[in-house]
Formats: sequence, structure tokens, C-alpha cells
Amino acid sequence: MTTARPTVWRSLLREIRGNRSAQWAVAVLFFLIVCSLGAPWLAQHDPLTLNLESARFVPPFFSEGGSLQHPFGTDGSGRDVFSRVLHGGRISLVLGFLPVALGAGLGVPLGLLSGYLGGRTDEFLMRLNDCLLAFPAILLALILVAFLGQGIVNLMIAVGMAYAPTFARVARSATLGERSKEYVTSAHANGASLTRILFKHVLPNILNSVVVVATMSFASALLESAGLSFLGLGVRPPTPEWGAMLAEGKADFYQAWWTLVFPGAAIFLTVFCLNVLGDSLRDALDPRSSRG
Amino acid sequence: MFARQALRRFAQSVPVLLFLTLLLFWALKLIPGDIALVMAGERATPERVAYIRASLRLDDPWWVQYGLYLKRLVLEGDLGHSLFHDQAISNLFATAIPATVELASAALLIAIPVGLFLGVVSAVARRTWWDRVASFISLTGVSMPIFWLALLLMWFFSLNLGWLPTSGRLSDEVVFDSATDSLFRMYTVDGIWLGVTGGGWDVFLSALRYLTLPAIALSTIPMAHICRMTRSAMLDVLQQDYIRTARAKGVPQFKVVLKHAARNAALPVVTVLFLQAGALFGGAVITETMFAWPGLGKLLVESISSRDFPMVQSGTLFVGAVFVLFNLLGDLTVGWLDPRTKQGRSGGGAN
Repeated sequence: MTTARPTVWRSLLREIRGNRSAQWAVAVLFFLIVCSLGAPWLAQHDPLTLNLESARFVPPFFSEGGSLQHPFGTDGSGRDVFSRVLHGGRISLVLGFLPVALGAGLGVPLGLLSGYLGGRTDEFLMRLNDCLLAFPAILLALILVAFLGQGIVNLMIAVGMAYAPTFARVARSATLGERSKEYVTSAHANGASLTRILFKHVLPNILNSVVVVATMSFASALLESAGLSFLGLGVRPPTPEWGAMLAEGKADFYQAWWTLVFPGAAIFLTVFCLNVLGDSLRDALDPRSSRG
Repeated sequence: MFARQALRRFAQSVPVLLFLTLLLFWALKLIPGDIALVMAGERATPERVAYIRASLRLDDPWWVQYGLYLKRLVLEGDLGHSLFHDQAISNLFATAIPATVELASAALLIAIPVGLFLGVVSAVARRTWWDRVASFISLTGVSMPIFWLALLLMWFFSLNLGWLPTSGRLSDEVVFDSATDSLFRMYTVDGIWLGVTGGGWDVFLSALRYLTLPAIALSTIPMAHICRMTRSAMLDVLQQDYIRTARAKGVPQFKVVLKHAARNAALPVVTVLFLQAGALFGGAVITETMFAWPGLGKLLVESISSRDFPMVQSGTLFVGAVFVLFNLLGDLTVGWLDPRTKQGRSGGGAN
């Protein structure tokens, strides 16, 4: 079963290749990720350097008075918006990705265990899970942020914990479908340990469903992290993060629309592409859902 | 059969709410440092700290504290006292809830018809450009950061066009004292009441102008979810045999869609509808903060920023309870609509 893992990725790749909108989404996401990773080299200015005398509210290059010196203009403190959007991408993308990884890391093992063992354990774990699923993710994140205190790490923990129940639910129902299959029975008969059966044998076969949920969750986690930062409950200014940038630009938006349009567009574009990708993967991998 | 199912479903939501109280109770313990000190504030007198310590029974074991918390909450209906506002939390709720209800209802009034219409159109006209446009709108809706949309709406409609105000609930020019003249604490409803009873329509018109932008911003996400669910439910149903039969019999298209298909596609749509309504009536955290709308969401965010923990506890509990309640209502409605449940009732089967 060691070959199962590459097969999953290969089948995902095949689906993407066969779908025009998924191709576009992947291309745009790839571009955004490369730009964010390359921020230190692509951005001409430091995202934190203030320039209060000469460069406050310079408009973007295509407007009157703008120049390619500051392609997206500058904000009220004379900081380069283009550099801040690029650098902000690093934090914002991580704030979408790490919570999902944390949620999957907590939820998937629980779901595997619950689905495989069944019986009382399953009953108990899923009841607990249902209690958590009964509330919107943002509410759980809000509670945790409120009581843990604000900051990047706490924000990621809060959003991540809020996503764990979804992953547990999905992993459990996928495991239920695999549990009685022959490869599992034979691994069990061969004396494989529980951990080995779950992670080496079952996990690769349920990875499809997990990847679909992860893509969708990535999109909403990014939105939620940015939203919490916007409310001042996550990343604090002057750290360049898309949500925090919008919070800062809010005060200046009568004078400088560009301080808002670019970071907001970056969030929207990323989330939109992730949703397109998630939709096409779900349609491809879930035979029940109708194809559009 | 339905009554028994309803009762069982109702009983299931009790442990969920108890679990939330426990979660909120433990969340208070997560705060680093002495809770009494944190709650009293930096410049509090030792007496005040001691008073808070005693009122929360912080020196007793946790189950005593939790029991006391539950007793106050359930038996006495005491939601606690806000540290920041220095008022009973129930008083704060009394003004915030109507504001939230007004905004949420307005948003749903936009979201439901638009979402249903777009969803049905894109399912019926599948793979045409109608479908593409509708799908694009709904996908945009779920991907839109609502705070960004709100800012763009303000920028366009208020700053550029000057049509609509950006924050608050009523213009200063209108003669209306919210403390004494407001019967419903929802100014559009008050305005209609005034208009009907002969007091003129200016309050209603002003309130409506203030309500429009936040309601549009808030309606985006539920509209998109309703549209997506309607589309996929309608597509599922339209592929079934009885629809083909109806079409073969020569039933006109609009009748097939509205009568034969819509009835069966309604169940998942109703579930989504109630889920979205539950999220809205619990207070729109971001929209209310953006438009300075004095509802529950804004109250909650302010209480988090000001570390007003009793307010955070009761606020989240209330939001959670509303969400659970709407979930329950949604399940009950689906159970009531579902022909399979009714069959069980008449046949007395094993349902």
C-alpha cells in the first residue's frame, strides 16, 4: 500500500488537468504564493519603513501623480503598499494554511480512530464532536482569542481548533467506508499495530476527502483570520497582513482608496481561487454530487 | 410521530448548550494571571478585587464555581454584570437584540429571494451563460471578505455618489428620541408605526436609508450559500425520472420547475436557510462593527477588546444559543416538510 500516496496526488492532478477553471485557479494561486515567497526580492521597499515627509498618499502608478516607484501607491505613513501586500501575503497565507494543518492534525487522527474502533469510543468522540460542530467556527475562534489573548500564535491556535471537528467528522465517515475492506482485514490479520493500520493503510485511502475539506477550509480560515485581524483581534498593525492592512486603511479611505483596494483584492482573489479549486475537486472526487 | 421526533431533537440540544457553558466557564480559567485582578482592572482597589473574588467564589473548588454560574444563569436568568459598561448585561442585550434582529431580517429579505432565484435559474438553465453568471455571483459571494465589501460599498455609495450614510441608524435631522419614542427599538418598524398612525414617514425613510448598506453587505454570504445549495439540490432533483415523466407528459417547464421539482429540492435549502439565519440573528460581528450598528456583534467585539469577560461569556453563550435554536427549528421544519416523516405518522411504521 506504499504506492497509495502518490496515486492520490496523481488522481488529484489529473482532475485539475481536466478542468479549465481549476487550472486557472491553480495558476493564480501559484503566482500569488511565488510573489509572497519572493517578497524580499520583488518588493523595492521595506514594508515597515515610514516616510512621513515626502511620500504620504502617493497614488498608484496608473493614476495621476503616481509612478512605478510605488506601483500600488503609499499609505498614510508613506509606506509602500505594493511591498506591504507582498509581505502581507506571507503572513496571510500562513494564517490560512497553518490553522488548517493544525485542524487536520488534530481532527484526522481522531476521526480515523473513532471510525475504525467504532462502539463506545466512536459514540463518545462523535457526541463531543457534534457539540463543537453545533457552533459556527468563527464563534469558537472568537471565544479562544478572547480568553487566550490576541496575537498571531493565538489566532492560529484559535482558528485551527475551530476546524478540527470538521476534519474529524469527514475522516470518520471516510474511515467507516474503508474499515471492512479486505486490505484492512489482512493488515489486521498480519498483526499490524493500530497506528500502522490507521496511518499506513487507511489514511492514504481517505486522503481524497481530507484534501477536499482542507482546500475549502483553507479558503474560509484565510477569510476568518483576516476578519479577526481586521477587528483588531489577530495580527496587529503595523505588521503587514491583509486584514490588518484593511483595518489601518479604513481611516484613510476617503483620501486613498488604494490602501484598501489592493489588500482586499488579494484576499478575495486567493479565497476565490481556493473555492474554485475546492469545488472542482469535490465534484470530481465525490460521485454523488452533480457536476455543473 | 412528528411530535416525538421533535421532542427528542429538542432534548438533544440541551447537552450542546450545557457543553457551551462548560467551555465558557473553562475559558475564563485560561486567562493568564489572577482572574479577579484582570477583571477588576489595573487601578482597582484591593477591596474591589476581594469583592470580585468573593462574588465568583474563586477560592472554592471549580464545581462549586460552575454550579453557582449555572444556578445564576438558568434559575435566576442572571446574565451577569458588564465590567466595562457597569450595567446589567440583560439591559445591554435589551437594546442590542432589536438592532441585530432588524439588520438580520433586512439582510434575509434580500438574501432569500435573490439566492433562490439565482439558484433556480442556474439549475434550470444549466451550462448556459445564465448559469455561469449566477455561479460566478454565488462563488464571489462566498469568497468576498465582508469587511472589504462593506468598505467598497461605503466608498461607492456614500463617498462617490453621496446617496447613503455609512454609520449609525438614524439621521440627526429627524425628530425622534430613541429613548422615549421608540416602541420596538427597531427604527424601521417604529417608522412604519409612526407613518400608519399619522406621524409622517420621515423616520421610516431615514431609518431605511441607514439600514440599506449594512443589510446589503450582510446579505452577501447567506445569499451565496442559499444560491449554491438551491442549484445543487435542483440539479439533483431535475435529473430524476419523475421529472422526465412530467416533461414527457407535456407539463409546461415553469410548472415542472416550480411544482414538481421545487417541492423536493426544498429540504436541503431549508436546512441551509435556517443555518444562515441562525448565524445572522446571533449578531453580525464584522458588519455591525463596520457600520457602527449597535447590535450584538458589535457589543461582543467591544467586550473582547476591553477584556470585559462576563460580557464575553454571556454574549457568546447567547450567540451559541441562537445558533442552536435556529438549527433546531431548521431540523423541525425539514422533519415537518419531509413526506417520509408524514408517511411514518400515518402508517405508524418504525420511523
